[in-house]
Amino acid sequence: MWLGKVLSSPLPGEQVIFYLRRHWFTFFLELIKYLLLLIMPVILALVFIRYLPDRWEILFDGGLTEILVKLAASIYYLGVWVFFWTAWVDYYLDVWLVTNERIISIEQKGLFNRFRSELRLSRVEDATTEVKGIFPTIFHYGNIVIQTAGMEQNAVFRNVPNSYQVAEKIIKLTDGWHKIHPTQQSTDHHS
Amino acid sequence: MEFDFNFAIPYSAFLIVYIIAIAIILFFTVASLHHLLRYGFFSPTAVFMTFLLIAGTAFILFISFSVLSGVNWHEELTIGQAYNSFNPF
Repeated sequence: MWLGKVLSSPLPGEQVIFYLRRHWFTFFLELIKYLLLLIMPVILALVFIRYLPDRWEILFDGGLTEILVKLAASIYYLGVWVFFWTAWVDYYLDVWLVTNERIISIEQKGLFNRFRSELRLSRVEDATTEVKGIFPTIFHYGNIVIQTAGMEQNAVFRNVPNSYQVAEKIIKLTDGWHKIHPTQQSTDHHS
Repeated sequence: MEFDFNFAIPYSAFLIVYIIAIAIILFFTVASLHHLLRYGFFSPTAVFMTFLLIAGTAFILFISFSVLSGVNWHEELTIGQAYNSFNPF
């Protein structure tokens, strides 16, 4: 299973409870943006053909302007296609993995920045949820901030689906961990 | 007094600029592929999307090649004007 690659060195007795990606709607918004970018030149061409046919004929008279327009169109469409894919890779490779021992956060920022951080359940103090805006409210997604003990950095799950339920699950897992390991509280550290 | 102010740019110069731009974009394609293969965990979705990325890129390049193959890249764009009758006095 692909989770084995994320959890390449599991702790003794560690099991994956669930994993999360950003809500599909966040990628859908990107998809709409790129579809508009793909359609816009076609609409522009139709406007030229319909309302400015003489200008269209000048553009496509077989001369240098026609060649330049074709070169530009080729660069434009390839660019839009490839940058759409980078947006998808950015979406697909953002993963939050919750096990019975820790929370692993993997975030892809653009193509050349990738962050991985881990937070032991022993360090989790609280989980707060933020559902802000029309779309997050309609589609039930939001941010979860996992607050940690002391000055350690909080973990943030961004735009994850069913954020209220996920926050509850994390709190239950943390409570469960403390019940199983009553003597190990606050002895672990997060990396 | 006679002088010629003309100079010519071959169409192939535009082709070179185009190829450089395409190479930069293809670099991003390769980076996307690298990330999908290295971190994409070989899930069916990742495999399908990788195929789609390659197929879409190849399709756009094929269409571009078909459209641009008919161009005579040896033609030249002439800039300037001949002032063979220049005589201010």
